Amino acid sequence: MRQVQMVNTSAVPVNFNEIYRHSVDNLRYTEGIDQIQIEFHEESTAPFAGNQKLLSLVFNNLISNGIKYRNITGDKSKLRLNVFNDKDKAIIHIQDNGIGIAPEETDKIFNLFDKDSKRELGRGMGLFMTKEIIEKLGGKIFVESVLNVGTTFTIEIPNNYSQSSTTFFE
Amino acid sequence: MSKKYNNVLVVDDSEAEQLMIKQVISNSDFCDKTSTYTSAKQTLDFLTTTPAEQLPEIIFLDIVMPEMDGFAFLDEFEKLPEAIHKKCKIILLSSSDSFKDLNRANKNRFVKRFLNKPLTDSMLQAINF
Repeated sequence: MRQVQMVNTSAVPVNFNEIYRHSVDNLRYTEGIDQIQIEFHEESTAPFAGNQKLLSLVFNNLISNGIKYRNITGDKSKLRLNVFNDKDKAIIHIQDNGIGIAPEETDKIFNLFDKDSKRELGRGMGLFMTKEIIEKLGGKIFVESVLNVGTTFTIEIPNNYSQSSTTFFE
Repeated sequence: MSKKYNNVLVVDDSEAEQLMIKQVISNSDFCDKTSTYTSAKQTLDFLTTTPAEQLPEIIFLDIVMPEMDGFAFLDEFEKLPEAIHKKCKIILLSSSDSFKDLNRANKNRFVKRFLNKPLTDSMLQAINF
């Protein structure tokens, strides 16, 4: 007997601009969102497919992080998201002019707890989850930060467009 | 405010990487004009057919590329005229922390920097030849 199984790879065509707009909308009651200027820019040379729900979580977490760690004493707070994608991958660049991260803390921001002291680290659950999700998507996240100047997160996510249709196999 | 350089060239087979690198460069005061190539071979053709005054002062070169990789490009670059060697400084962009690549890059007289991707504004600020 032939058994036909349907496998949904959960990769669907993704519209990054829509994900961005939904994230900002989800975060509309977040304290400080009215004090930060958020910009989105996108350049693409091919359609992109991926896990829309998980990508939304990544956007939510990183935009929320940018709002939370804005610099309230400095220049007007800004958060800039750039998305570049081709047929192989998307690069998401999230840059803020917030409080930044001290060099000795940069390696630890994605951890939940400090390995030595067991104390909870400054940025808590959000970035830990973000890294887990990105790795689950087969991607990578990098951070570069200068204390009191700002932080840039760079994310790379593979493009699953070629596998995005529902696959049948026997 | 004047820019550090006139012409900069980015050689990377990934279009997404190119777009990002161009964006990082255009957000800084690094250069007036950024050109891109997706293949090392095309870049060699471009360098040999371009008048000296229009040659790029900086070439950002990806290491891992199909057909001709960054190091194979450097071997061919060696054979080019002295005028090109003098004008074009090469910055290697690596996506891995490979010591083997770093050592190989350090031995090459044309490579002025070895940077790990992603390229950032502070890396550009630190470039001053």
